[in-house]
Amino acid sequence: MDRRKTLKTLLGGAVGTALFTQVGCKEGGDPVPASAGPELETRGYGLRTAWEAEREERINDRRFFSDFELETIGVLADIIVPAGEDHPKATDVEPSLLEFIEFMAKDQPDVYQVRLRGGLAWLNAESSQRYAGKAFIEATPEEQLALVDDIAYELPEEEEATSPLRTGVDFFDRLRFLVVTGFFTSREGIAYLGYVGNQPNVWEGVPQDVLDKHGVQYDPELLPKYVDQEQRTVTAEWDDRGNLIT
Amino acid sequence: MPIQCKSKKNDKTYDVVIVGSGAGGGMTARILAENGLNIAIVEAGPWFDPQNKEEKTQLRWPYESPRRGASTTRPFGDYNAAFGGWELPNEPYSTVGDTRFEWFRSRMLGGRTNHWGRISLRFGPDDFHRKDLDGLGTNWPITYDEIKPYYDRVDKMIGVTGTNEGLHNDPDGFFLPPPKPRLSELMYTEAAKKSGVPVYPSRMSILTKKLNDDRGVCFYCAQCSRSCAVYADFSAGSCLIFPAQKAGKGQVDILVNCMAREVMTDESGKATAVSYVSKDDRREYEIKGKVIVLAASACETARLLMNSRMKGQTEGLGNSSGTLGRYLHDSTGANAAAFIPSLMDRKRYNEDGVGGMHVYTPWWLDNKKLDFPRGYHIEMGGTMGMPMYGFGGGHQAIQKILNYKVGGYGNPLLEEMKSVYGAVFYMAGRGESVALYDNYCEIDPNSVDEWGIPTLRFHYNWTDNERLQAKHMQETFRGILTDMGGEILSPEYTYEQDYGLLAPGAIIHEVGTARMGDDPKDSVTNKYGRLHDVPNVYVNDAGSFTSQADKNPTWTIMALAMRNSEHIVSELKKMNI
Ligand SMILES: Cc1cc2nc3c(=O)[nH]c(=O)nc-3n(C[C@H](O)[C@H](O)[C@H](O)COP(=O)(O)OP(=O)(O)OC[C@H]3O[C@@H](n4cnc5c(N)ncnc54)[C@H](O)[C@@H]3O)c2cc1C
Ligand code: SF4
Repeated sequence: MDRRKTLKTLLGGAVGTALFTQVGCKEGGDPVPASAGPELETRGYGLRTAWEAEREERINDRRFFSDFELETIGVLADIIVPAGEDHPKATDVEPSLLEFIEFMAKDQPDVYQVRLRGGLAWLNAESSQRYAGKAFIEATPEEQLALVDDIAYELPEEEEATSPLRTGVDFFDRLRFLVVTGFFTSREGIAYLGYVGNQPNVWEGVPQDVLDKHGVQYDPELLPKYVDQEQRTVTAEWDDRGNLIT
Repeated sequence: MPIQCKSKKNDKTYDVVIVGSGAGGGMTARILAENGLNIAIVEAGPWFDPQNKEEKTQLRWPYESPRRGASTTRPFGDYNAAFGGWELPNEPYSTVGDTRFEWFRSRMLGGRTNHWGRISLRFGPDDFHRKDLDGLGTNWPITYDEIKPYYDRVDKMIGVTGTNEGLHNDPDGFFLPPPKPRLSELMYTEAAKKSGVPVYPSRMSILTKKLNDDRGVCFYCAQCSRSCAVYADFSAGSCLIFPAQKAGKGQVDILVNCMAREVMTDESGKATAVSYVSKDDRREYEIKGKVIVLAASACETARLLMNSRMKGQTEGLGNSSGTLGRYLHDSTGANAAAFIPSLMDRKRYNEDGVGGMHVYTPWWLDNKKLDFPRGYHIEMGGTMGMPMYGFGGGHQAIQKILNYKVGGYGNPLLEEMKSVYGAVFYMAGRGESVALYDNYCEIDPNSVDEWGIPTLRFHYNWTDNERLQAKHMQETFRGILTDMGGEILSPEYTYEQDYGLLAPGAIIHEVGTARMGDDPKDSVTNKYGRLHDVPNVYVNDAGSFTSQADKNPTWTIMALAMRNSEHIVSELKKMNI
């Protein structure tokens, strides 16, 4: 089986392959078409040192989660980030959130591998017990939510050490972090959040309505000292005492 | 065309061979090149130019990184322009006993200036003679007045924002106009003033206004740590090394991927060359110079000297005083953060601003009236910044403050996170520690790196001088954050926890390992950074600092390197070396 191809299908189309194209596949299989979007003017994401590049090649040559595990993560991810009025569900954002989770499991194995894999196994055992032998992904949406509701909240302090749900709570916490971070760092997540930076601009200060809303203002004495953006392309000159004269 | 040569056999004798291309090495190269000397730079890392499209990380989105910018391989995240970190593969260092020391190294042209914080504070008059004021440590062999002209020239050559405030120990300079504060910085200013803590426009080496034709003007992307592709922030490559190459008077050869091993000396005790290993072919070479300048960063320079043997000096070159590696000290650091409920549901606009804070607080109190001897300055911030790996990670602490159910999923959780975006504010103190003989680095007899070069081990402990200062920081921060309407997120630290003091080295202002002084018996260099023991070897990095101030070190590294370099030019002219 071409493991990478399966993962590719699972992760959904060309977007899922973008990151793999950076280092290519060592083990044969289809040559993956370069699918870098217009924002990637170069392959990769800025210079990696040789050891970083080699490390990444090793990571991308292996696969950690099984198809079944990834599918389960996908169902959970869509529960954590379902579609909303102004954003798609987790498995529909770009680039692929599942691919990010798969990558992190190999990038920070000590942090993620046992906790996620063990947690998934716990989840399936729990689901099987509760729902007549059904794996989590085979349970009905209502059953899935009922189980998630039991592990999605912090346990009361007195139950933390003994609760049978401890493993599940810990697992869900870790997975939720990855899904949420993955969502808010995706194209759609950034748009949903409303981050509007990362582009050349001219800082003119806090908008007046925001100043008013928060009851603060610029000190009138300091205003003349701040950069006059009209003059920013005029070469700086000073008098002998350090007063800017241009 | 500038020459950028890889290592190869080279029989030339340069006027000056410089080891390291960071703040100290870069300034040295520029001054010497402008004076027409033939120089070679030996740099352990690869070539780096932030303008190179292939290498550029500026303006990339988090999703362009497969780990969404996580700090797995780079401590400050995937897009940080550091080729290095707290650990370098196959180049270890160690600590002794209960020492906690952290050493940040970057191996690349320009060194750590490619991704530093750009906070550019000159030292003040008091900082050069603290011993006179509190009886601790040692006075510098130079005064503020002696170094002031060099600070002024660094200001004009490199560019730094700020305002002339007439402060006694945070002197005026030649400043570019500062950017207007951000919203949270205005709130900080109000709250701080209530506690009598002054706030001024920040002093950052970022071009808010045109400085010359070689460099662009800041376009407010907040990403100086990624190294600015239009050269609007200070990096040693773009502002010092490339101009040195362009100066066109003398020869400037740059040997990248070459790791200096040893300073070679002759029978008479003069240095003749630097031996280095080329990382490309792993062979050993030598490069000859009439003068050798070490600027590999304070601890690397000490290491290089310790690993250099000379007849009659078994403890390392230039170490007849026994102080080489001693008096190592870093700035102190402690932090606190708060959630500011009044910043919930903020109106969205682009508040990236420059790569760092727009205001700052210099040390404002009199230590004579306090239970610790030295001061600190305050850095701070909190913005609607670019979401990166880690986003949402602190949400549960905020849920607790807001009495929400802790945990959750689905659109309600996303809405919560959206509503608290940009509502966390942090404060960080960076203070002066007292340099001590017993805090030091030395060669670890049992360890070499992959180049066969013996490595360093560190001995370092904080004292109550630093602990009580950190206690004061914590109290001040909590007071101001509370006055901002904030709910404190950081734990409260005890004496046993050093009041939250970070490990020595963690602030990355390590200095003092080859300190300057008039007395060759208790210092390594003279006031021009020249080794007392070897007349043609100079230390042009923070190794030569007699004491760190409650400021960051880099502006002073460059002012001293400029001064030392002009001394070299004049000594060479006078045929003294
Ligand atoms: C994240 C961060 C933030 C910082 N923020 C600030 C700030 O806001 N303000 C401030 O003043 N300072 C700041 N600093 C500190 C600042 O970066 C250093 O003070 C400054 O870069 C030191 O300059 P240097 O020339 O001594 O050493 P470096 O800049 O470290 O350069 C040393 C160079 O020497 C090379 N080298 C080392 N060993 C050898 C060898 N054996 N052979 C050949 N080459 C060698 C290295 O590869 C490197 O290029 C910060 C540092 C970091 C990491
Ligand atoms: S904030 Fe300004 S100086 Fe810093 S990297 Fe962005 S454009 Fe360059």
